[in-house]
This record gives sequence, C-alpha cells and structure tokens, in this order.
Amino acid sequence: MGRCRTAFNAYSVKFSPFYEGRIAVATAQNFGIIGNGKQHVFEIAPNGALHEVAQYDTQDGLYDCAWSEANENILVSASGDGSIKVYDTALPPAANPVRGFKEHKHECCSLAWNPARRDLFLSSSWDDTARLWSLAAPTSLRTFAGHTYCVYHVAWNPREPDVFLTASGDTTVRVWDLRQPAPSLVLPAHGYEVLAADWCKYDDCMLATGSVDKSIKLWDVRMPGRERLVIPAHSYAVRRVLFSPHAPSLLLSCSYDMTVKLWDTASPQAAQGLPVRSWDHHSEFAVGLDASTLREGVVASAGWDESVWVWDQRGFPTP
Amino acid sequence: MSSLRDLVAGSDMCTPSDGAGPSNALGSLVNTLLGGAGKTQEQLRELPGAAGPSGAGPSTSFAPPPSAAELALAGGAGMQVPGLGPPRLNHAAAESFMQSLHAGPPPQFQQLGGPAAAGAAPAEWDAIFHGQDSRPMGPTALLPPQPPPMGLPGAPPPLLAPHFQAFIRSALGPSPSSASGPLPPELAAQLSVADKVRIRDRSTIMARQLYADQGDQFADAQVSHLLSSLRIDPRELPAQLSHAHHADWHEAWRAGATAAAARPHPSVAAELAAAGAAAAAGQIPAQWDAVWEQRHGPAGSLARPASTGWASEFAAQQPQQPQPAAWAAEFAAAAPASAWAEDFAAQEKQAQATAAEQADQSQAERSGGDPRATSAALAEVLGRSDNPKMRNSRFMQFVSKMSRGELTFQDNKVVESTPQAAAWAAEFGGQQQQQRPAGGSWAAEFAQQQAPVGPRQQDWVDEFARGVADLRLDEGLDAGTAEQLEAAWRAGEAATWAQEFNQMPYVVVPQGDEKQYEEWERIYGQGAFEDSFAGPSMGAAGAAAAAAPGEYVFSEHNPFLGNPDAQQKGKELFRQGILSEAALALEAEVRAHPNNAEAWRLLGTVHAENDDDRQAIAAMMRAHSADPSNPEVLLALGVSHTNELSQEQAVSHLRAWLAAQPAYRQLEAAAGQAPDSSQRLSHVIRMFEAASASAPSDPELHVALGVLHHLGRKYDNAVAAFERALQLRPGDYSLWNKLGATLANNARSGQALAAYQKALDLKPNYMRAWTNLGISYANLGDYPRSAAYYVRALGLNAGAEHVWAYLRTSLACAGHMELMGAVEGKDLG
Repeated sequence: MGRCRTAFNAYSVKFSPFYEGRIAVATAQNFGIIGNGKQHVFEIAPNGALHEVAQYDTQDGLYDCAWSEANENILVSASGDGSIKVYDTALPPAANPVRGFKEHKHECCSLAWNPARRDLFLSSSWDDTARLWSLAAPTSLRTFAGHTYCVYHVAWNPREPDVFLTASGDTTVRVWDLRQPAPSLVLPAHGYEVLAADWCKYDDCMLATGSVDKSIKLWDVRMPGRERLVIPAHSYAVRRVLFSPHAPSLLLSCSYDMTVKLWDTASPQAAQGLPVRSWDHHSEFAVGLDASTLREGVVASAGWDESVWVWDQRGFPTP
Repeated sequence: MSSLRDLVAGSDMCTPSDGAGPSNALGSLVNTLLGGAGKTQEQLRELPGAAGPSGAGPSTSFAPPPSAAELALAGGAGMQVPGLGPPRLNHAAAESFMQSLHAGPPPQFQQLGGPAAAGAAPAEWDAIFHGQDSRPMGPTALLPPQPPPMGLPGAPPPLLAPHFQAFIRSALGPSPSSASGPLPPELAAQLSVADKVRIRDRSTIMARQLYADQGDQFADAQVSHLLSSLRIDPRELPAQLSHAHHADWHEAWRAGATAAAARPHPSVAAELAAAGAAAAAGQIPAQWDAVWEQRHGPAGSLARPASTGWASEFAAQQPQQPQPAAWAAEFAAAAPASAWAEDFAAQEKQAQATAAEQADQSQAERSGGDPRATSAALAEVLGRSDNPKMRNSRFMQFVSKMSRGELTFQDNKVVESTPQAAAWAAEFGGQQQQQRPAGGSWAAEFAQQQAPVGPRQQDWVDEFARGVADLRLDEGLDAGTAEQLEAAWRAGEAATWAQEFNQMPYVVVPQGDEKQYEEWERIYGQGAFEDSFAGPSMGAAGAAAAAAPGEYVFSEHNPFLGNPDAQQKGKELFRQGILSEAALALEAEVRAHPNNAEAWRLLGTVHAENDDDRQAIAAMMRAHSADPSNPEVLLALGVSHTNELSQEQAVSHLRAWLAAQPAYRQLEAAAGQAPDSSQRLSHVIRMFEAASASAPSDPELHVALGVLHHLGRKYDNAVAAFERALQLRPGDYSLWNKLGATLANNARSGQALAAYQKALDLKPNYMRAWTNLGISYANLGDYPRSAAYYVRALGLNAGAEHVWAYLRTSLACAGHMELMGAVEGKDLG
C-alpha cells in the first residue's frame, strides 16, 4: 500500500489512533550508534500516494515514538540521549518540540501511551528503568526500577489501565501495577535477553515475548512457571512482537533476520515455526512494527534499510 | 552459561552520564559527506558543535528543572493518578525557575528562531492541549542553549558510516568487520569522549543482541573491531553503562587493535588485499567461518533452515563462489598496491570501464550516498550472485563502502595523511607490542575463560550449600529451618540429584492398557485437551511436557517395581512428606494394577503437592476412568485444571463433582445447561452457591466455590470462600495454600505469606507452599529470601523446572551471580 523512504535508519513506526494512514516514524543515523535523529509523520492514502506531514530533527538518534491517545496532533519520541520529545504536528516546525523530558540517564528506547487513561504514557530506557509520565506534570510521575539490564520495551495492558509490562535484557519480563510498589510478577521469560513483549488484546492475562534466542513465547500471567507456546520464529533475534488489534490469536513479529512474520498462535503450525505469512521486503534489519487499529489487517514495518512499508497483511508489501 | 551471567553481572545502577550533551560534530560531518541528509534550519539549530573533551561547547544537558509554569499547568487535575502518592514537585527548583523567567529568557533561546516563536508555541500548545487559556508560559521545555554549528575545518574527513555498516553487516556474514581500515587519526580526534562512549556502549548493547548465541566475548570482540577501526581506545573512556564493561572486554579490544594497527594506512588496493588475505588466513574471519558454520550448518543450529532463506542460500553459494577472497585477490592483482598514484589511476580506469554497470547497481544500492567508482571484478562477482538480498545488502554495502573509501581518500589528500597515519600506526603498533605479552590473544583468553566452568559445575552443590548457609546468616532465618534446609540439600538430594536430573523419564504406556486408554481418549476427547497443553514446551519444561497431552509419564528407574506392598509404602511415604519416593512407590503400584483408582488418585495428589499439575492431571484422569464417580478425584481435577488455567475442564469436573454427591445431585440436574459457553462458569458458580446455601457446613462446597471464583478471577470472593472452608476445616494444609495463592493473586502477597506459613506449619514438606512462599517474597522484592525458599522447594522436588527458573530470577535480582552460573549450568545439564 505504500513505502516511505527515510533519510536515516528507521527504528519505529506507529499508526495514528485518530487518522487512518497517518504514521509516525522514528529514525536514527548510522543505525542509531551515533549521529542525529528524525521524527517523521507521513500520510498514506489508500492508493499509496504519500506525503510528509511533518519532519523534526533531533540531536541524537530516535529509537521509538508514540501517538497521544488524547490529542490527534501530539506525539512523543524516545531519544538516544535519554530524553523524550513532545511534538505537536499542528504547530509549525519552529515551535517543535513543544516539550522535552530528560530524566532517563541512558538511551530511551520505548514509549507506550495508555489507551484508557489518556493522560499517561510510559517510557523505558537502557538505564534499567521505566518511567511514567503525564504531559500535565513537569517531571515523571513514577520510576519503576528493579530490572538489572536495559529495559527494551513497555506495553500497557489493554484491559487493565493500571497494568503494564516491561521486557528487559536481564531475561525477564515484569508485570507492574501502578497501585503496587513492586512488580506484580517477575517472569523469567527466556534464557537470553528479551527485546520485545506485547499483551493479547482479547485476553488480559496473555502475553507474548520475543528474545535474542530467536523464539517467541506465549505466556499466561497466571501461570508464569511455564510458557503456553514456544514459536521458533526467526533466524536472528526477535526485535518486536505485536498482537493483532483485531484477532485474539494473530501475532506479528519482526527480526534482525530482516523478515516480518504473521503467526496464528491458535494453530499447531506456530509451534513448528510455520507462520501464516512471512515477508522479506526489508533489506536490512526489520526493527519497527505496528498494526492499524482503524483498518483491520493494515500493518506497517520499519527497517534499517531507511524504509517504512505499509501493507495489508493478506497480501504483500508493494512500494 | 557464562554469557547469561555476564549479561546480568552489571546489576548495579548505571552511573550518571557525564553531562555532555550529544555532540553532533560527527553527525553533521556524516551528513555533509553522505549528502543524503538535507539539513533544515531546525536541524542546524538543533545541532550543537563539538561538545568534546576540549569543552568547546557548553554542556547541553537537556531538561529544565521542574518549572513553575509547568506546575501551574499541571494544576490539580494534572495529578489524577490514584495510588501514586503525592506528586514529586520540587518547589525550590520551581521558584528559582520563576525568577529566571522574570529575568527574561536567556539569550540562547532568542537564537532559536526568534522569541516570538519560542514564546508562542507553548501557549498555543497549551490551549490546544488543555482546551483552556492558561497563563503565558516561558520556553520551559524548549531547546537547550545551543552553540553555533561547528565549522568544518578544511576538506571533509572520511566517512564513519562504512565502519558502522561493516559492524552491522558483520552480523550477517563472514565479512571482516575492520575491512575498511582504521579511521585517520585526525578524524578520530574529532570524536568527543561522549561520542566515543556512545559508540562503545550502543555498539556493545547491539552486538550482544546480535551475537547472543556466541556469547558476550564474541560480541565484544566485534565491538572491539569497530572501535579499533574508529581509533577509539575503550580504556581511555569513562565507564557509563555498567553492563557494557568487563575487564576481558578491554583485552578483546587490545587484540583487535593489534590486528588493525598491523595494517598500513589503507590505500584501497592494499586494503582489499588485506581483506582478502584476512579472509583466507586471518584470525577474525576464521572465527567467523566457525560461527557461520555453527549458525547455518545442519547441526546444533537454533535457526531453522527452512526459514533462513537468504542465509542458507548464501551458505550454499559460498563453495561455488569463494567471493571475498577471490575478488579481493583479483582486485589486488589488477591494482598495484605500491603507490597511491598508480592506485588512483587504476581505479579511474576501472571506474570508466564499469560506468554502465554502475548505473544499474546504483538502483540496487539502497543507501543515501551516491555510488562511486568500483572495480570490474567486483561488479562481475556481484552480477553472478543470484540472491537479490545478498546483492543489495551485504555485498553492495561492502562495495559501496569500498567505493566511498576511495573517494574519501582522494578528497582527503591522502598524500598528506598517509605518512602521518603510518607514523601513528607504527607508534600505536609499538605501544601494542609492549602490552601484548600481558594481553595475550583473545582466543587463548577465551579458552581460559571457558576452562573454569567445568570444575565450577562440579563444585556447585557445595557452593550452593554455602550460599544457603550465607542466606541463613544474612536473613536471620530461623536457625533450625536453615540447618534443616542445608542438610536436606546436602544429604538428601544433592548426591543423587544430578543423576536423577539427567535421566529423562520416558513415556510408558502399560501393556494391555491401550484399550482403556483409548476409551478414555474417546470419553474426554483429545481435542479438549489441546487448549490446556497448547504446544509442547521446548527444553525447559523437560520430558513431561514433551509427552502427549494427558499421558502419564513414568519414572525410568523404580526400586519399588514388583513390590506387592507398594501402595502401602507409597501412602506411608506420602504421609511422611517424602513425595518423590512416594510417587515412585505409587507408580509401581499402578503399573502392576492399572485399574487401582485409589493408587492413581494418591499419585495425582502427590504430584499436585509437588507442584506438577500436568502429571497430577494425567494420574487423576486415570483414577477417574477407573472410578468415574469419585468426588475426591473430580475435585482434584477441578483444582489441577484451574492451576493449568484450563477453565473449561475445571468447570466441567467441578460440576461433575456436584453431580456425584447424592445431596446435590438434584440441584445439579435442575440447573440445566448454561445458555452459552461464555456463561458456563457463572452458571456453575450459581449452582454451587445454591448448594452451599442449602448445606453451609460442607467445607468441600466452599473449597469448590473458592476454586471457581479463583477461576473467574473474583479473588475477593475466592478468599471469602476459602476462609469459610478453613473455619470448618482449619487443619487442611492444602486449603491454607489455596488461600495463600488466592491472596497472592489478589496482590496481597503480605497476607499470603501468613497463609503459606500456616500450611507449612501443618505440613513442613509441602513443596508447593515453599515455592509459593518464594514467589510471594519475590513479589515483595525480597529476593534473597525468596531464593532461599526456592532452594528449599527444589530440595523437595529438584525436577521442578519452573522453580529453577524462579530461582535464577531471584538470584539475579539479589545479585548472587556466582550462584546463578551454577544454577544455569545445572539447568542445561
């Protein structure tokens, strides 16, 4: 359905929760190792026509971005310098970023906006913590410490607005509750670093984890001792996992093996590593992934080949 | 596994950053050189000059302190997060910021596109965002003070990008990552310390993700190649991300630096020749070949050949086209390496000859830089490659890197820089030579690192016991408990544990029992069980998990086989709490008498107490098929299925339990079926509530009701039901455990501790309660104590894989890395 070119290596893509076809893309120069970043906003028409809505430059690479669930023009970006930038696409570029939060001591790598309590969002960082923010507050509302290595990913539970998970290089996934001082659950999910995790949108106890051990595992938080399913998913580290917003058992993943795959976790084939679909349109590591909540089946991926693709998961990406 | 240990070894919090903001001297250089990134006004103002070690630019620490304006903006409604406690507002900081506001914006802000824009933006944003007109706000969250962009001195220095590309590429194939040659020193000097730290830390984190299966040592070696090609000496850099730095890492760097320094400053041909030579004989590619084979070879590979696609294709092509060596040699032959002038001329000629091919390739080439001259030999090799991914990605990268390298050196007055670089290289080499004896080669060191693992594993039992003893001292555990714990560990289990652990039990389908098995299958339907056993677990869950769903897995060596009193012995052992032995005795009994429902039931109970619900279910199913109306079996099945989160099975068994009681049969029959499957649980709950209203003194009803509420995640109701049952039956240890688990699931871990403790007072060898205590302590953040409880639980049932996993986590969180290595090693055994 469309492809966007970016100047730098694309790290993350997110569909706007308000506008069909509008995507935010976070990018970083030199694979995010050193250099600048750019936050792009693109609009893709159903016919594939593409125009850039906004572009913001940053001093350091951007690793992730997230749309506000409260205001259709607001988005936040996670920067390699640990800061979080707030952009308002309704304002001229010179007025952006409208805010900056700098509390993380190291690279900020993941952002997640609470879909239910729309004033809250979370960030996670290589400084081993996650932080809770509100645009209405000058500082972070809370810091979630306890992981012993980089926290690569945060994700809100789709049903419980107080509950979220963090995935860390310390090999665990933790489930937190804003009402609790400590994690409600420490899930030793893999034998290796866990780079990604996501909640099932239809079962608030179900989550998926992706690890550098190349596998995806499915867990029920009520039974943390044993995974429900292991998918030998990729031939390199699994970079992102994402449950479909429209089907309880469909799961997307992308990997350093450059592929994006769609899994049916209810199918016995998943355990054998047989995806429903496998796409290899990226020529570099595929690191960003999102699925549109507004149009069923529309997915997007971002890669270090400086490209972002949007397509229908029943077909194949076309430029 | 040492890599895992290393991975989490840096468990202390990160040191704060050095305060130097991101310097983009480098970024803008790369932009300029690549010509790909058109710089906008915003970018220029965003980019400070060199905030390097010379302190040329002011620190660009980003966030302003909590500002008064923002506080005002937040107002009362801003903090509507219940349970978070009072907002963390710093009034002193706010006040000082107010003062600074009155004093007017600092001059730097006015450079940022004018005061009007800076002032207007937040107000406008504020209005939009809050839909109200709040008072004007200063540029609180705008940009930091910016120094003017740094002027680029003289000709642009060479690109950095190829080095990073080589680094990233190196994950995907056996290309020597330092092939582009070290960065000239004058450019390396432009990298600030902060930049170098950033490069080191980020590439380290990334490399560990990419090379997880090779271990940290290997990953760090790759980073060291990158760093040495950029002339970054990690020993000169401050520690930042504590995860990233180990002593061995510096050694790895040293080895890489030595290799890099041994090469002369690169002329392209020499570089190609060096790459070719390295590919043929060098130490790095040799490692690579090994890794490559390991990854993509048929044996022991985590990757599935079917899905690797391009990778396996590439591997298949390798023998036919010994590419790197061949083309490099070819190229070296075509372009004499001796003099730069000749070199240049040869390249020019080749560039003309291949201009047409270049045009084709430039399309395939995906990076922002324009493709430059490359050699006919390269183009030919590429033309032969069938795999578009290889052509576009790894190889094209290599080629474009090379071609850019040429131009870089032409633009960069190579004639001038070469002698300088050579001198530097020599100096550097000399330096390295001196250090070499101390350092040794990476490989040797790695081998040494690996060596101690063996003995360590042998000692791990002792070590573990010592650890437990330490825990006793640390935690002030009840001395008797700890001693008992240690003794149990040493005497009871440790001797036989390793053996036992390695003997994978195999599935025994007793002879003459198939018929019954089939019948059972028919009754309960294989399909119904697929939900609860969704997919076989790999590795960690062991042999039991690999067995077919619902199949009971017998232990292999059973001293009780043939013992006519096995059931009696099993009961006795069960009573004494020696569960593993009890299970063996009961297994012997049911193998002799497959229709002994009572023995199967006892066996299921033993497994349930040992926290193995799959086996418990399998045994109970056999008991059930032998005696379909035994209420105890039905209740146990309901509980075990609840533990396994198999709601449907749990509900149907509990309903069957109700139907099996004469007192409630009427009620059950009258209730009929739930209108649809989604209401099945609530329907059965209503049934039980009606039953317990008619017979409030039946504890079993309360237990079943508690289980059902637990299943429906109505934990408060479940707690109430279990408490009612406990009033009627206070001596039931498993009931206390159920209460504890329900409290814990209701985020009341503190209260759960007391309930578990009560269960253990009643039955000290109750493995499940020990495990649950460990979980609760872990949830409360008391990891050392939780580890102690897990060890206790494992002492009772060392085969509980999930408890090993919990233990690993707790040890990691408690900082007991040395113990964790032992656990990990054992686990893999």
